[in-house]
Amino acid sequence: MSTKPKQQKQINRMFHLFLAEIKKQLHKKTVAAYAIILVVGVFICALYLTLNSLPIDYYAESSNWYERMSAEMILLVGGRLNGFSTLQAHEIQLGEAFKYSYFLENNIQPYGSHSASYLVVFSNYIFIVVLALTMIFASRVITDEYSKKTMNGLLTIPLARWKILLTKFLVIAVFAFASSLFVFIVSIVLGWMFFGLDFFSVPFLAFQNGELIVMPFLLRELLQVCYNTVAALFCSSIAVLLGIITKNGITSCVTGIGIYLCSYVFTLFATEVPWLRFTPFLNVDFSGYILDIAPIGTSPEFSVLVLFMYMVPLVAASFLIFQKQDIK
Amino acid sequence: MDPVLRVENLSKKFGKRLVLNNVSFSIAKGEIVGFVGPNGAGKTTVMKCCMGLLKQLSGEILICGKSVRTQFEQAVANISYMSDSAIFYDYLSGYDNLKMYAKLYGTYDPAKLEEIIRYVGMEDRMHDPVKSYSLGMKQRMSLVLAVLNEPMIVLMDEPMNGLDPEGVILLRDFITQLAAEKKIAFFISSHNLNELDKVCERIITIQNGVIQNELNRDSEQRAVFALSTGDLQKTKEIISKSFQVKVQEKAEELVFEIKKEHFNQLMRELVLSDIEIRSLKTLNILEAEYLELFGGKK
Repeated sequence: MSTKPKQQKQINRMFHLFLAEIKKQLHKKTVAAYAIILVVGVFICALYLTLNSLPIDYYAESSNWYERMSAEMILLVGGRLNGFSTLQAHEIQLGEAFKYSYFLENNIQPYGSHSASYLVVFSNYIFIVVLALTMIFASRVITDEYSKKTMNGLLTIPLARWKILLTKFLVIAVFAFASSLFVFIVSIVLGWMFFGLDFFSVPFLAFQNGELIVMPFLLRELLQVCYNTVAALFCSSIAVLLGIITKNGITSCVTGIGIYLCSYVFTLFATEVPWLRFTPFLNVDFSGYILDIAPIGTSPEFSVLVLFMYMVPLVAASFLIFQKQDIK
Repeated sequence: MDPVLRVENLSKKFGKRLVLNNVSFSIAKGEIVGFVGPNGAGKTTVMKCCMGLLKQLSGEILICGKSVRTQFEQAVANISYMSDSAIFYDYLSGYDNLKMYAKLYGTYDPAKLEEIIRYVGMEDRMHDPVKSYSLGMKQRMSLVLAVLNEPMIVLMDEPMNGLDPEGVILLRDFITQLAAEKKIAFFISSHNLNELDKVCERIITIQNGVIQNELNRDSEQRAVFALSTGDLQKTKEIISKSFQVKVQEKAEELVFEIKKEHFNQLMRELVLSDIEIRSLKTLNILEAEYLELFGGKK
């Protein structure tokens, strides 16, 4: 057989394996359960916003927002910026000044908390749920095959082990992306249902490392979906490696989620310990970038790079161990 | 002709324990070979090595001339494995499982798949989830799976487990038919020596990870008898003297092996010596051979 048809055959097998993996993991009940969990998560966010008012409503829900913002701007420029003790607090105020300046110059009234736009942003808080579901999914993709002995069948198809594992990683990536995208879409739909139609015309503004980033709102949110996918993939690569080593779904899942939760603790020391930003802990939570509370010296691109740096050895170890593993 | 499976000096360790020690054998196209040995002898380990499920071994395994170690994809395309445990996704239906594997093998043909399913008598339950199947039904499914990739050799690990008598007959017919018509070789590990005796052309034995002598399959010529008489001592003397064979005394019975053509002569001599014959049983020659090879050491 010539090399080309042989390669084609292998690609076909990988494609069928990809579809089979999705079919194996996502049967109707599981899909329904995952969807309900995510919809409920966004619903709680919408409910919270409906029942509460946030500081941003000060400008958004006022008819004389322009005058109020101008007055605040004068205060900020007129010296309040110098009165903050920490660098982080100073940066936040500086960022506010830049954003106010943009809104005033372009005469764009910012959105408030009672809007679909803000629900889309606020829903980033439930990324931890997406992450947990992805970890469970990733761990099941690997460990179920061991516990149900189906690995014996899977590894006897004429496909090298690395190709099988690669297909599993692809399935996990698609699941992570689809879950994040689902939350994004649900937040738009629930946002419209709760707060009325919103055309997302107010651009996304963020102050990063002394620079004001302006981006179309929906584009930035779609980028956020991609960033969240990278974070979920990073945590999943831990779950996959542990799954291959321990063959135990619970261990791999709990450890992965534990590492994500560590990020909250490490964020507290972010300003005092600058090198922490080179660890995955400070880069795994991308919600900080969209809520504009990310540590100084970081950016979404920087975080993606750091996560990839850590992901490469984790994935390489998974391939190496899986390749040499005895399936008893 | 090149063998479809050739195992050369295969050794495998689990930790520090040597579980296979220089195992060598080969199986020709269309040949049906039995594989017997006590529990823990290394039968499943050999099969899993052949399928590439166990790694870091020494020696060589060639399937249709392709090395499992260096040409895995080409080698495994010619072999299939009917494992002792069901390898199906229990929440999927039987049909979905088989369809999935057929697509992965690249041999999916709905008409052909349904034909094999009908052959094994599973057409009524094919669309039920596998978790609702009995062990025997899963074995029938495994049988379909075993030929799904159109292999040159099928490894079967305890294929009779859980099968009802009808299923055992079906399995026997399935194997002999495929071996004769499609020249598929079968390598069957089982403790059911009677069944192996019926289908296998030769039987390889293994103990403590070492291949032993092949069991003597000369059942056309020889037979093992268990004889109980009124005077065991005298009977023993007659048999030993007349046929020059070893006679063992086991639980009020004399066990010995003679040529089938000598049976009438034995009866005549016992009657002439006025010995009362209380019972006479013919033992399966494989069982006798097996016990001689492995039983005496226990």
